[in-house]
Amino acid sequence: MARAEQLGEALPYFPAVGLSLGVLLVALDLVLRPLLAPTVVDALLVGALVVLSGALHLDGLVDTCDAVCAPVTPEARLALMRDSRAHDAGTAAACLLLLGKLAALQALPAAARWPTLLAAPLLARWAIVAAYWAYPYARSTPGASLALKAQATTRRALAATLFTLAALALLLGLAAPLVLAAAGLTVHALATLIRARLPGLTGDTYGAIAELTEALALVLVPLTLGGYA
Amino acid sequence: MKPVSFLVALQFLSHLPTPAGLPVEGPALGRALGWFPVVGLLLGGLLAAADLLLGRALPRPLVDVLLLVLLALLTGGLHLDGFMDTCDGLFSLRSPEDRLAIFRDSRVGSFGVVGAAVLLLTQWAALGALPTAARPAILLVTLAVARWAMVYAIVAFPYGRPEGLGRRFKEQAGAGALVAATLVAGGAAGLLLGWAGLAALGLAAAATVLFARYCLGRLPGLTGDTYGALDELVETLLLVALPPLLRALG
Repeated sequence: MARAEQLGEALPYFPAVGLSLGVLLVALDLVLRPLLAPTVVDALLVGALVVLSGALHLDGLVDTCDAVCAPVTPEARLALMRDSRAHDAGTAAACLLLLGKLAALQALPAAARWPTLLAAPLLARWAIVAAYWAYPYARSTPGASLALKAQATTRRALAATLFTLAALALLLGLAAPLVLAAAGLTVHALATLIRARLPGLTGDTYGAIAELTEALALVLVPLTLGGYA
Repeated sequence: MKPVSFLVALQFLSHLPTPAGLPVEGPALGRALGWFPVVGLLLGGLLAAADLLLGRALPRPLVDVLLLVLLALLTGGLHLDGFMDTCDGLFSLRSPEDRLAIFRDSRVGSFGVVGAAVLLLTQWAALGALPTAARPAILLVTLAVARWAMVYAIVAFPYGRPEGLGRRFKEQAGAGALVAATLVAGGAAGLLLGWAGLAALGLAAAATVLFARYCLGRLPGLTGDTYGALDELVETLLLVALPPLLRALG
């Protein structure tokens, strides 16, 4: 386990982790498609995304939706996010997100399939770095997120962004800056929504931002690669 | 049916902006009940518009998920929330009083999670199977009739709590509200989908009676959560049943 003051050194590599997850998805896709029906493969890929991230980000989405939708003060919402149990809003959000990812994978045009599988997890992890760098953190209790926030320097965010842009350029060509900008806008819109209801971001909200950016990327990438037939 | 009553209904049934200072209790709630199906038509209209717009750029299965997301956002997840709480309360092996306490617990239990997953999956699959030409009309009728079903349940069956939002509606609910709501829902269903639309209204009425009897066997009376659950169930039922009804009667 890395010491807290070294965690920040990992930030520039977050998108690379995302790209690695994408490579695993493509590998799974290669192995499974000759064996199984397309819908089944898509469902397994959605499941793989959950399992590979240890359901960390999905848990963040559930907790964030529960907190944001609760009719209580921002401070009470922070406490609510610490509650590991799910409420109605989070449950519905998780169902709809997974259903959305399944539908997005099912709809992928063949030519866009692998670039999308590679780009979506990449953009999701970039979104986390961007959110750490750009917005205030809500808690003062020591933890991984507080350490990461303190060490999310512009230099590190820039390194992560350059890596993401380079990888996207290889995958998507000229559409790369457009897709990255759209992901950036998504992060900003989500962070603004969250900050209207909470004193700042928390570890859970980074997960929510990652999940929603990933889902959006699953649709955005095929749209920029010629659209749906 | 005063137009201000429509806004009162809208403030309870949606997250759409309404003027501040609308009544939240008293006789205005009874009058608002007649407007419930109109709110359904408005929500259905918004979904139908989003459907046409999104359908130009995105494939059908994806559009269908987005419609479910949009409906959850427009209603503030109100009915979905009621459905999950109802699953948790009704499927647990407890006394009627304990079930009411479970309704009040904002946390979701296993039954609620399973219920939400199955409900949303069914709604998604049903949306995917709708005939293209009739999609807007089916969305309008489904959402209007589901809100009519809530009015029917509120007027016709006993309420289970000494207080609560549902109680405030129940106390003001008269036969006049049910007649008004039925005229709106039946008129819209008949105009938009002909005999199939009227059959859908009959189906929703039967579902309401069955569901209310089921609840009354396990609870002292209906509650706001069960009204929401009924709305979700009728929506699902009509999305599933309207295509075959249209083939048979259209």
